[in-house]
Amino acid sequence: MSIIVNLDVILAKRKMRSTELAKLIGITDQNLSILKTGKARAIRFSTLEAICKHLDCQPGDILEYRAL
Amino acid sequence: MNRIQRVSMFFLILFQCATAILPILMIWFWIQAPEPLVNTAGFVISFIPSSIYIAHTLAVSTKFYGFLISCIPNGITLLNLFLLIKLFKNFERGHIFIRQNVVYTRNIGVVMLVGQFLQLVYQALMSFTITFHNPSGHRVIQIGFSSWDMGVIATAVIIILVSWIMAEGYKLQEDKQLTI
Repeated sequence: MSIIVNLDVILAKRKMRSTELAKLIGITDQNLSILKTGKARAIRFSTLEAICKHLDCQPGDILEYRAL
Repeated sequence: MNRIQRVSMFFLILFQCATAILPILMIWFWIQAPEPLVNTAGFVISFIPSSIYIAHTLAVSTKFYGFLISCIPNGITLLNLFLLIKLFKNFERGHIFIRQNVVYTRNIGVVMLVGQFLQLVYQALMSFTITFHNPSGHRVIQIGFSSWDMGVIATAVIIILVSWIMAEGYKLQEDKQLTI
């Protein structure tokens, strides 16, 4: 896929664990893992908003477009 | 074990038995051909189409060629049974809505469709082989296409269509599952 999810980078910068973020934004660990590993087909705006709110970042910090 | 698994196990065993019995019936029939096999319930089994006139007892070589030719439609049947066994094995394990089942369902339809067209080849070869030693005027090459064959083709097309719909539905479900 051409959209890369850099969630691991931001989590490391904020020194937050995946399980903690998953709990904060109200999704399962499994779903967050799907997002982190690039297997997700789509992300809801509500989920993106929750991630940005709890990680204090912009959508562009998490999502990157890379031409294949 | 839930109801789907119980019913699936029943049909799985049925298909496995049919897979084992069919080759045995074929061999047994061709050993005593052209007499059909008749079971205790009066059910007649024959691998020679009834429309073919047999004017003599069959030579061993004719029986051998007849057996080989009857492997065409029975091979198709065995292939379909094999696919059904794989499909129902998945159902028995509780794996119902998976991509593999869609592939098996589509393949069953495709095999049925191909089988119907191979029937034409089978009929021609069988009629030629069985009537080769008939007296002059009674040797035929026979090809037939009946409403039964049309029905099987229609069923095969519907099965392929249903499997395509299942595949599309699976994609939609996957998209939904992978939307975070």
